[in-house]
Amino acid sequence: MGAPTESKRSMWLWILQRVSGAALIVLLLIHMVVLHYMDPHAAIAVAEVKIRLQGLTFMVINNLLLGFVIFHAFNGVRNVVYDYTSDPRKRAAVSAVLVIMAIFLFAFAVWAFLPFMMG
Amino acid sequence: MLKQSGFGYYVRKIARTWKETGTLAHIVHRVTGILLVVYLGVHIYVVTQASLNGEGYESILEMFRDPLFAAGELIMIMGGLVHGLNGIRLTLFDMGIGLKHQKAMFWAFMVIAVAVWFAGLAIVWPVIGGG
Repeated sequence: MGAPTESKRSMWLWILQRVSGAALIVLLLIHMVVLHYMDPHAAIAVAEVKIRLQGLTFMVINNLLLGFVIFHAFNGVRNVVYDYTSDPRKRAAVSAVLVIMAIFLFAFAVWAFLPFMMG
Repeated sequence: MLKQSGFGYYVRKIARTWKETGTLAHIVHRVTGILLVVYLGVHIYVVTQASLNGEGYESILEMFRDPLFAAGELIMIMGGLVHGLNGIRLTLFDMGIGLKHQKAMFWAFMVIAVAVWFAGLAIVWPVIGGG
């Protein structure tokens, strides 16, 4: 077998869009309740962001949230673009740019928070 | 003959059917999705400043106390709720659940979105309303 066909790849991306969407419902609920609704008066100061990222539970939750939300967002943009053009070359070019942007954004956010996560 | 795909076809199809609940749901999902992507980029930039540039981060937080930003954030929460709940609706349809009640489910989920939004607003109101 060679590289996955376009339709097979699209089917997997479609399933992953559903899976990541379902995960985001749970993860974003935790994100919003813990950060904003449990104590709405608490300012989200630097020190607090730091403390929150050091616990293993939140480190896992936050990085999962980051990964799922970036996948869901960029694959969503891909779906939008695919509705607007059927030219295979344009589609491939846009997909490549989106993959690079998504990986860069994920790597940037993890890199930026590494000092916090490592204490 | 007109092409059955591409930008022109998409726009014509939307223009022809926008009054139908299904198309309306599609437009709402797309517009909120694009807004959320833009918000995600800004949000990741702002939050990473807490680690990369503490003083810059605090000054951004100061800017967010402006009522205009509070209003913007409330709009984004509504966007997230609408997108998430409509996403649940679409996923249910993919699993074969509720296909006969697509329109009713859209409006029911939008009512839930508004109710949850007001509940959230009630919690944060003392902070954004009272300072």
